[in-house]
Amino acid sequence: MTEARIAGAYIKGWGDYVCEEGGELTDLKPILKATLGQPVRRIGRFISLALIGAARCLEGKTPPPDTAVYFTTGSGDFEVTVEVMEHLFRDGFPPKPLSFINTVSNAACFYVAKSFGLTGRSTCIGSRAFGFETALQLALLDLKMGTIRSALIGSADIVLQPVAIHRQRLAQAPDAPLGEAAHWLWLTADGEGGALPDCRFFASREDLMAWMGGFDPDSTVLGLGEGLDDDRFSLSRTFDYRTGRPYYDSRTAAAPSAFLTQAGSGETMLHVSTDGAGRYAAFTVRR
Amino acid sequence: MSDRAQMLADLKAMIVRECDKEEMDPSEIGDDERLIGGGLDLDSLDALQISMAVKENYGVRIEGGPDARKALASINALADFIEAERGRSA
Repeated sequence: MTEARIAGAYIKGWGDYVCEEGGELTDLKPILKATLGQPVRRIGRFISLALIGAARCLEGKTPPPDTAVYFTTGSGDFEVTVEVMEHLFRDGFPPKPLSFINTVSNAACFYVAKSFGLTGRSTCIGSRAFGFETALQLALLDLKMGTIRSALIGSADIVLQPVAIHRQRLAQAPDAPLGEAAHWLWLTADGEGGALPDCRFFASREDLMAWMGGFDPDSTVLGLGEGLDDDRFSLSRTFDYRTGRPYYDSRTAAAPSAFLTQAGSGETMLHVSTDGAGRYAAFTVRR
Repeated sequence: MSDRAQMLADLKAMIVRECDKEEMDPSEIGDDERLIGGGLDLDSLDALQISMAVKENYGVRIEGGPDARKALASINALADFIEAERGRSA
């Protein structure tokens, strides 16, 4: 009898960059140079963040060259977009090439792939409410189908000055702390221990609750996405990764690494997000 | 500093700024050093960036092909090109 082996999604590494920004923005160039060991030319804050987070996730390890990159962002590269638009419409000049090429959504993926010698597929995925979950689900599907054996899944969001205007742009309260952040996970099809077994979408709360009924409340904690602060669903224990963390649109991507850093072996987090229109996304992380 | 020397210094500073070579001191660029494909590690994308910056800062358009290769050969060549084009339109 031959034992069929279904590939999983094992956690090989994780890494983050998070910094609250309220006035003069942190100079990322020395951080990037110290993290990567060399400066990277022709990039702005957004791509710098993506690179810093990815380097921290890999911690000097070399991923297989065919590692795929899945990347998401809440607000995208506002810096370069605003720069190009102002140059074009306010100043009346054509966009400068070095800015223009970085307006493409996959630019951050390109720099991550180039910096770490990756030649696998690279995909930037945008989804207003479920960006991280969408990228994660695609990576999990590719890993479990055997299409890929290794994946980097990441996110980044920047702050643009003036911060007060950016706060309005993100529909945050006037005193809400804003942050710049990047979060990355390295998943492999083979491994042991920590894993991201599942990521799903639900058309209704009833569908979500039916699925959640299969989890043991003694060994599962609940992580809650934006706007779900007081909802306990069917679980009594919660894992709070948002209190004390500045706001950025891709904050859900902080949940896996925050949980992995704090949880004990064998614990599971079930994370739930909503789009505010009755739909839900959920993923699980096992330490 | 003569007008010519000032122009060379300004062009070097412009190239360092526009091509994101900020780890480099502009004065490190030699007046006759090859700009594109040489030791400065600038490529065709940088050439386009420099051409657009010249148009914005000096009002001089660098056309593609042989003109661009000639104009962007070095800092001295770029200054010569700008002065010649300005003289032509004056």
